[in-house]
Amino acid sequence: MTLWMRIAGRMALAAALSWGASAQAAGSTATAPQPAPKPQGAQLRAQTDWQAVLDEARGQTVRFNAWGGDPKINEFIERVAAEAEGCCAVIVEQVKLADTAEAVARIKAEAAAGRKTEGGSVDLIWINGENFAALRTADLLWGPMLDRLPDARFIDLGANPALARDGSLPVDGYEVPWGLSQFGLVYDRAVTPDPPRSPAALADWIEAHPGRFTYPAPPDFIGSAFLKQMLIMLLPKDKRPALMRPVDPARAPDLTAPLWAWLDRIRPAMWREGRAFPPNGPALERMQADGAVDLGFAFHPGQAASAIASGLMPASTRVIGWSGGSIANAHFVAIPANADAKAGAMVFANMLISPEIQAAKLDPLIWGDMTVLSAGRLSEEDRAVFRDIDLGPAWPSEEELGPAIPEPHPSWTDWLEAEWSRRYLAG
Amino acid sequence: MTGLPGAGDWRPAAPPGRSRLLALAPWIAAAVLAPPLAGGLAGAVATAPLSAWRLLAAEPGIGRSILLSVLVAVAATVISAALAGAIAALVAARPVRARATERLALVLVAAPHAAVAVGLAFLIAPTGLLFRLAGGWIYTAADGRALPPDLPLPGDSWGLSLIAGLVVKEMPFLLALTIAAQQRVGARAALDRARSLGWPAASAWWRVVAPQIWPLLRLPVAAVAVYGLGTVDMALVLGPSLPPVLAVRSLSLLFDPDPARAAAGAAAALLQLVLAVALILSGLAAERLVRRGGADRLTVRPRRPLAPFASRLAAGLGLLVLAMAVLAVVTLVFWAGAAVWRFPDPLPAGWSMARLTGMAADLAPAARASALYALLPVLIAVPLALLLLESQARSPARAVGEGPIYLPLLLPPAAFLAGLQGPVLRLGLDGTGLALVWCHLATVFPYVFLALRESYRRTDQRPRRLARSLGRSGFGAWTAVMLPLTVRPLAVAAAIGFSAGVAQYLPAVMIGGGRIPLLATEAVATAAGLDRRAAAAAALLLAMLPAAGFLLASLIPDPAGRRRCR
Repeated sequence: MTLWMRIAGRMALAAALSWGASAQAAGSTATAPQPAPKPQGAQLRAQTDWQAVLDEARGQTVRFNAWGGDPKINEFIERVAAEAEGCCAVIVEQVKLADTAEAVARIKAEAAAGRKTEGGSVDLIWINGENFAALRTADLLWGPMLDRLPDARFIDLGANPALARDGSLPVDGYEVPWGLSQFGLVYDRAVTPDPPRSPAALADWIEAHPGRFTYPAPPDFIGSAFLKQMLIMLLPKDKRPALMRPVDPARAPDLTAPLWAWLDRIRPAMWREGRAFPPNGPALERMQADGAVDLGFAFHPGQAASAIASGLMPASTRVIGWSGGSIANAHFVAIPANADAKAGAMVFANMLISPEIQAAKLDPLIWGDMTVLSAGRLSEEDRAVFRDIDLGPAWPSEEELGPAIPEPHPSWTDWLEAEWSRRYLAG
Repeated sequence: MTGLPGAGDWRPAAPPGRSRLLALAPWIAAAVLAPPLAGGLAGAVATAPLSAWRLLAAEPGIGRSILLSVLVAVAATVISAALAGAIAALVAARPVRARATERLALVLVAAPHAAVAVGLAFLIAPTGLLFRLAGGWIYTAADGRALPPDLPLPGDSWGLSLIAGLVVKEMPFLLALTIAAQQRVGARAALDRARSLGWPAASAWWRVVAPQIWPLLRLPVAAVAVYGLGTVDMALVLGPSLPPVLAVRSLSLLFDPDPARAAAGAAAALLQLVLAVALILSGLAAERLVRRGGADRLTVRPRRPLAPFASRLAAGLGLLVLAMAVLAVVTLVFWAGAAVWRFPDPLPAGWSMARLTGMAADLAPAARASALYALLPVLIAVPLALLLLESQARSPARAVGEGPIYLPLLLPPAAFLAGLQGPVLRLGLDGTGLALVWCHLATVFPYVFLALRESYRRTDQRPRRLARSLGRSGFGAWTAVMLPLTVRPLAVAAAIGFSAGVAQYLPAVMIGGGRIPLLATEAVATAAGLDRRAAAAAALLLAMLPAAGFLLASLIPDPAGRRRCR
């Protein structure tokens, strides 16, 4: 590894570990608060508690319902599953979903059929956002259980608002965060040396490169994230707080007028003159890999690195954040209230947040997903494991990625999606 | 599933005790097939209250979605049937070519719809294979890079790419059935006679053979129309996006976390059922019109040589479509074996078999499960279909009630399964092999019955009567005469049923609870991702099972057909 790469890697590591650090005081990662020492008795009880969970989990089969669209992620899950079987005799089977909503619908149907506390087909589910809201508001998740996982002590819920709130709802220990995402732009440095990072620059770029830009049609979550990101950036600072509150339908059209004007402006210069949109994020990625468009989107800073490694995109592909900050969120695992293998699911969830697995997950050759663990809570040895990961040159530096900004209130997602459909879907 | 005849214990055409079995056959079929159907339909109706219909009506562009769906279904069906007929007419007098065409068509039938869609999309897109082969001739080179033209391919707003995709997939299906049917009705002899009267071969085929085999093809054509109306996997890849066709909107609504919108999805699915029924009724009306107008023309000698020309043109187009289908599958093979294949390289820059072999090893258990859960329904469906057909042969009145059998082909699977989910969960059957086999059987049975019905009914009954008069028992005559005569249609029907079973994806997700991973669920999950190479590898593995089935079926000689050829 060259010195340059090592430096780049260090910078990226800092970005990964102290997510949102630029919003905090400089150097805060080094002095992150240590967990308050617990009384001896409580610790002992926690230990015996966890031993009981391990004993109960032994021999259980955990059906982990997880999006299965990325062979790399599937392989990673398989690896962790093999480890779970080795250490704790927990068998984990990934139920590969094309859409998480399928499993959510199934859990709801099971509950409606009277299976509310057991007999469910899902033991652990990879989830966030509206799917979490759907299960949590129907009281179909089991918990709180985050505090019962020993390795949850490495997570500092206060370090990042995305860890404690998933969309509109507080997580309240009903979900285990296992990865962080930040919305960025994917570009080819050799083609677009100076990528447009603001709405104004992007509109100019699109008009100068007709037919070379598009975004997935909302309600695809990448498409919706793009709308939200542009809306935030188009609004003057004093109007942005309105986005943190639930939608006021009377004021929303006025507030969002700049977004629609902007979208209408770029539409004629978009791919196929904005008369067709890719149906989802992966479809847009394929288009970018094919050379049909020049810009794409990423929720993982490691996305370019892994696409390069698997030969899908040129080596000069990079990820960069939006000027002024990019929308960030976390993704979680949760245990349905009717899961049969709750103990086994806890054991596997705990493995997913162990420093060793979180470090492996950060490696762009394995996945390239940001860690939820706080550097300040890790031992020096674990920190070294993270430090030694080669993030590669395609991983954005801290300045490139920029600060993380919270998502608007989730009611905005629904409102923007409906309004986009009203304006665009009819053709 | 007690009370169900096992694979070996049916006894058609037998002494009194066994005749009772034949009399009961429709009831047995109803008992086996009705529960999933009735449950699914009732559930779907129950989940779509009036408010759901109102919400659906208020969806932006829903009218255009409906119009598009109908347009796509009708156009794809008419074009597929016309091209299949033209090719069949072209090879009708040449048994060797007919046989080869039929085999090729059956191989293409085995390829999964989604895989063909992905292959075709890559073939025709401006960044796809055809444009890559055309190379610098088409690409503009701005700042030293090759830039593809910004053409609406695929996904044009009128659904033309989707129509093309459906034709590429459905035309081989109809072609295989048409060739099989014309062999059975003795098309060659009829053509010879017509030609000796001075008719051009193509005219003779359309005027003499086509009306004879149409009754055999009516239902498959209807199934093609209904499939075109309900397809989601092809429409996602090839269809328009502003707005998408009704089926795509129905599915995305059905899975919406908001219960009100999910109910609107159920309403949209029921609307698809209504459209399907309307399409079939108007098809029947059109058939009546054609028959009335065309009846007397059959006796008149054609004066203008328009028909042969049109037929030859259509056959040429049809062969082009076959070539496209083959190319789409070949493209998939390339993708599955490509190490790196980037635009604008006409061929992969490197090859790697590691992904395919690795995936095959990973997916072996899923492949075994897929084979099992497609084979079990076939093993039930084939004897059940035979039992039903023999029973109908005894008393034709029994055929009147067979309509509901085809309901699974008319109902969009997502709606049907969403309706079924509740009852299955309440009975505690979800995630069991029994529920999955039962759901697959509901879809597999109509295909098997459809594939078998006409050729079985039209099998020459005289040899069998002769065997009876020579003292064979009913069952003995059946095994000695009927079985050898129908073994090939039986095998083809089983292969079609098997391929329908392998392709089933939603039952495993919605009724199987994901507890029984199948090849189809793995392939669909992979297809949802970025890596086209992985998606292609999974799709190829998925196509191999039914392809093996069709290969086995095509190896069985057809005694009935061969005797006529001599």
